[in-house]
Amino acid sequence: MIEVKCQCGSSFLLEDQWAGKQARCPVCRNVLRVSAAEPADAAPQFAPPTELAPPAELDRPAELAPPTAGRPAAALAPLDSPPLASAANAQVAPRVTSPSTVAARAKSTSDQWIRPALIATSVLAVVVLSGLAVFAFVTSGGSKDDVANRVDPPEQEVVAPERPRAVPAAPVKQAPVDRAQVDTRPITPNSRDASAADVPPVSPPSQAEQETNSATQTPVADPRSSITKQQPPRTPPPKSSGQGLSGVSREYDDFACQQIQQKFGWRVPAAAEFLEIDGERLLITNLESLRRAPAPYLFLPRGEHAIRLRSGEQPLRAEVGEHLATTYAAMRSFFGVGDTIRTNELLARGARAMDVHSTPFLLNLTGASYVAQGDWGAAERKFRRALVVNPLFAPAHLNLAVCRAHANDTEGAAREVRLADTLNVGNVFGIAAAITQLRREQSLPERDEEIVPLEFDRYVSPEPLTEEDRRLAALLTAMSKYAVAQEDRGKILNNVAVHFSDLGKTETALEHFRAALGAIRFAGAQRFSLAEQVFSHMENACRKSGFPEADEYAFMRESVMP
Amino acid sequence: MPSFLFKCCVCLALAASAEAQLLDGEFGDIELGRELIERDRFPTLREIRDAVSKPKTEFVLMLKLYGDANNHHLPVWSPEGERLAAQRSRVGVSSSKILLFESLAAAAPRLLGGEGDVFDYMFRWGINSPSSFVFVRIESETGDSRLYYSGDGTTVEPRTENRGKFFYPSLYERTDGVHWLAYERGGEIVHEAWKDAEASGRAIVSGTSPRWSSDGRRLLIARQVGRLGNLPYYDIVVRQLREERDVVLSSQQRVLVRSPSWSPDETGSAFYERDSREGSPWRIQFAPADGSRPPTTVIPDVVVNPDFNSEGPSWEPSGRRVWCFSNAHREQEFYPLVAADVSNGSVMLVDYPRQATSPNDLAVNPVTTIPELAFVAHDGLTQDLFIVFLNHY
Repeated sequence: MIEVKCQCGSSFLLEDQWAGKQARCPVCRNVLRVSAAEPADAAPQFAPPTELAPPAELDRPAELAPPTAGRPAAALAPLDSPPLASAANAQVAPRVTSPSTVAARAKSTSDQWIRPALIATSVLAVVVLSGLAVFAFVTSGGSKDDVANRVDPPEQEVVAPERPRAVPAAPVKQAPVDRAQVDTRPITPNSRDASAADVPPVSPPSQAEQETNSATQTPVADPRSSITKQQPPRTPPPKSSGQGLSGVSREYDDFACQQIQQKFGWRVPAAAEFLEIDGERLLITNLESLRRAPAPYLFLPRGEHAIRLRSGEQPLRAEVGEHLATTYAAMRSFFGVGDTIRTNELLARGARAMDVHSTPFLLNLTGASYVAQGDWGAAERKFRRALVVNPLFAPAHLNLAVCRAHANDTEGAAREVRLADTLNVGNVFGIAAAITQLRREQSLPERDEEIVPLEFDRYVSPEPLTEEDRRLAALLTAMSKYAVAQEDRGKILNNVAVHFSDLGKTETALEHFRAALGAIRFAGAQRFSLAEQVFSHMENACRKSGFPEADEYAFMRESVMP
Repeated sequence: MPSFLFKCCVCLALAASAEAQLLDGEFGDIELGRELIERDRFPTLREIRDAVSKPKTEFVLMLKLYGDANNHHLPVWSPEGERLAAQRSRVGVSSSKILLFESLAAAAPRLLGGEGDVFDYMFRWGINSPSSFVFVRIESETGDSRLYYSGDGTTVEPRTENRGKFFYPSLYERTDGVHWLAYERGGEIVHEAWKDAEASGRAIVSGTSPRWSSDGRRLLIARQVGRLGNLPYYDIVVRQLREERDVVLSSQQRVLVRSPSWSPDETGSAFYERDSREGSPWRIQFAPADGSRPPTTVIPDVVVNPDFNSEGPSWEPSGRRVWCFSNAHREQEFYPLVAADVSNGSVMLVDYPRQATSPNDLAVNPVTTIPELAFVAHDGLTQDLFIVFLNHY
């Protein structure tokens, strides 16, 4: 037990687990520092050993029980993090910083008394608004779009703009982008990569088409509701215009998403042992698996943050100037999530990226579109792909949890909802209410301290691999690194995929096909014909396995042209 | 005419046979852009499938990564196994350069420091860093050595003053921007830390060849304990930095030890040892890092680099075995690959193309789950850099 003395004269006893954290005196409401237990490092440092303790002002305070004479005070569960307060009340400030740089901006906050008031107000607002939302959902009759909406719903409390069809992108400061990793060349080297104004964009079905479609919909009972829902037909991918992807809007394409990722995300280095944000350690382990992810970005809410990654080391400072939830809501609105999802827009952007995504956003939204169409298997594959790109992407964990729950995999759903919860730092995505709801449905406590390991392979493919499979993939992948020409590297990786496709391990094959495309994108003049062939292989593999993604790859194959 | 037709038929048959070997969707016309040793083409999927299903560990592919008119030494893998450094010495001239493969796909390595008249060696990649490294440069005018550091992999800056003897740097990069450097300075191990313009350092113990553990809490050191004539002699210790305590790993006998290396899980160390008698062969010893057991001989009479001793025995990623070339198993100028189990000393020999002779400086990729081995060997007059792939461990 640790004795804590307040300036008002009160003293309390806390359990050892609160060492290094903050606690609030119930008498005078002052925030106290509980002495840290971590020993100083014997190696040379530049500051006293106290620098090893997390910075006081950024810790979340714990609530102390009122003192009882003669008995130690029991520490209550910590206050819920004030994400809703931050989301609901923070103003969108245009101050942006590149989160990938280590900016040592020590700054003390003086809002200790404001924050609890905001928290209380926001909690009340959530309760009221959530009740209204549930009432609206139950009485609306529901639809598959509502399922898609539920899969990745926005927080009602987030100050989101109206939902126009086209939302102007928030002013984006050009964050530094690693150009070596970004292929800004279009697949088609057309001399004029026309903007959307020049060529009619691929449009969603007209009102007449929608009415026709709705007349032919087959009602499908939603296993999770007594309300019968109608299942819209699968949206076929658009026919290739014969001009490649000229005219496809760049709004929210992979490159734009990379900018969003860099603006709001903080890239976790490979050396991270744990993730401690503002003094609170995320309930996640096995971070070494992040080394395999191309974009291990942790998204942070607006404000300044202290991020610590290893024992005995100082926290790093990161500052985020705007609300990601606002931008994320705008992105969802642009693609019609919660309404009629603009699947074709998502497909076109995937094709532009040659299905090699540098961020998880579009994959996650494409998964939502598959849910809207009732393709739970395809949806789950997209959500898992999003997590292969970035295992720290909370919305995809939440959506995967919904998929697992739909498949009656309670253990899987519980694991994923816990990951969604811990990675939704400060409710940065505005999905806290949905997480809470799913926890209730899975009979999980509203908050628990269960630590979940990141299991990267779980997201790559559920297909069992033999030892020979692993050896073959490792051997050819290792050899491919030595290919001087990217096209040859792509060919080797394609061959790895062919091995798995030949064995009927389609998901694993697709993963390696995408690796091949990742190399082919940077190849020479052969890249178009090679990409066309690889897309053809992917389409064939999907058709053999009955994956609806075959249509996507058919579209991509037709869109690739020199 | 009939012979011409016959030849055409044979060519067509061979082409058809090669095509028949390919699976549906497989690309057959693959050119690595490297010289393949004893193989005229990249293996097909069927051939790879066949290779990985064999129970015995066998050679699959060998390529010459780099060779020119110079001799090459000491390939050093980066911790994530994606980059490779090596040393180049000019024949007939006392000069040494560092070559960097920042990408294994590079047709040629980058020459660190240009063609100036310097002697660069003792290269080490930074731990926990995607780009940093350190090395030693001997100034030709004074004969003094300086340590050089690069954080971004491009800009190189000196870390020590201009006068003195500095050797065996080992770099540990913290996530909070603090850099830790351990090195030998005039026979003492120094631990230096710096961040931006602020720096501090202290001597730890007399010794050489410090190696950071991956958590930065321990150093594997060859600690000086006395002199054998003119030569200092050492034992191998693990220095616990927090407790300032040494755990002795090597035996207490008066033997010569050098080049300790951590096991992949850092629960043990392998190092070279030999008797003090001149000309006695080197052997690989293994000892647990907690000093709970005395060291055991893993394999006797191994090939070590006589000119540079910055690199120690090379471990496979599982930590079960160390890999080396052994004089005990040589066949004239050919040395098979030797994998020795540290727990029981059992040895596995693996052949590879005999075109490469007198090999040395074997370095196992620390990450890949199949054997990806770099070493130097002679294929002609000069010593070139080779990569060998085996079917499995």
